[in-house]
Amino acid sequence: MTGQWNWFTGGIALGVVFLLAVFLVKPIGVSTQFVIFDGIVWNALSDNLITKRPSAKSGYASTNAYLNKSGGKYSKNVMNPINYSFIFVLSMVLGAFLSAKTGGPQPTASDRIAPAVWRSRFGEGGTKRYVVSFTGGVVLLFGARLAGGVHERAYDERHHADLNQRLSLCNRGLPCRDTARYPDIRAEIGEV
Amino acid sequence: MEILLAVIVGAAFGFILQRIGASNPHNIINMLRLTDLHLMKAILFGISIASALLFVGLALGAINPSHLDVKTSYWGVLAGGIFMGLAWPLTGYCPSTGMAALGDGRKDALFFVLGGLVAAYLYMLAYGQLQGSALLAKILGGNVTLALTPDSSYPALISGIPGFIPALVVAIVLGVVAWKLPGRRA
Repeated sequence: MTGQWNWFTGGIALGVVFLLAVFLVKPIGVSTQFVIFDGIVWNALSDNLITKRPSAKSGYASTNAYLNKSGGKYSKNVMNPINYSFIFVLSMVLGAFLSAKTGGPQPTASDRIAPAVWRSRFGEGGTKRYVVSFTGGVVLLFGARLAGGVHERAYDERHHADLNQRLSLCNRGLPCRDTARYPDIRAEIGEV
Repeated sequence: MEILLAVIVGAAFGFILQRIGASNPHNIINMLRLTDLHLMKAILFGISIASALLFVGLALGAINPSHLDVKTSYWGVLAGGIFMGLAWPLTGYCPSTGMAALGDGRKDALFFVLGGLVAAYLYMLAYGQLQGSALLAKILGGNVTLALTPDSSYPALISGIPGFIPALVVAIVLGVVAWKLPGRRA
């Protein structure tokens, strides 16, 4: 298809953008942001899905176990949608749009409904393709989340070291940020 | 500042995915049917370059290791991978290329993304039940690496060799495979 880069140019570009992302901030991750989007919608419809909780690492806690994991870091992103990862994924749509408008490979009107390889077998109609795309999207993203990480050990260790330090300050009667939340911190590091 | 980087790097990634033809499910499906390997060559070459430069950058101290996290190995990774492997050739989309395809104006990508949002919601509901189940049980202790990395809190399966050596071996093997695979049939 015209406008498409060859594998050599494309491979270098991909490698450079992966590396650039890691060098500047962190690796590219997309499927987590599907959770964040859902969380934003869900939280807008719910009174108590996410609450502020200063003793949590992120400052937020959720009644949903997934949004609450790793110190509520997903909850924090839901409450602050203008964050690096979420804006990154939205910007991908913009970048692809710009490429298509500036000489990248152009899909035809039929391609926008179903790819050629699909149409040659199942015909031009869109309905079947849409049903399969939707169903496939459900299976694929469920798989991606299932494979996407459960528990960040290093993260939790850093978090516990931080809490322990605060707790020891409180114990020695020294100024500590969380005197009022003392039982809460103890519960979190499993000392209760 | 971070938000500006998100816009620039995110847009660059979307631009590249579109420009290499990855936002076109036709190319993905034909890659997985092994009838047109040009995308596979680009992807393998990209991984080759990125892994070589990443580990050399880490070894030289040019890349901050705290930007990286070692993901946990557990049975759900394998199960989830099977789900993804079933649905990827069926749709011709993965989460990244599905987003890029929205920028292409593809309607089937919109249905893919909507399905993905439903799945993310289902997983949020299911996660409480999955916790503690065998699916989330760790493999080989969880957060392990093949060889030593600059972050010593992650144990390595093979001790005694620096991380950039296996990374370079992987980079060379993938680079050669990318080079040798047949390209697009005219």
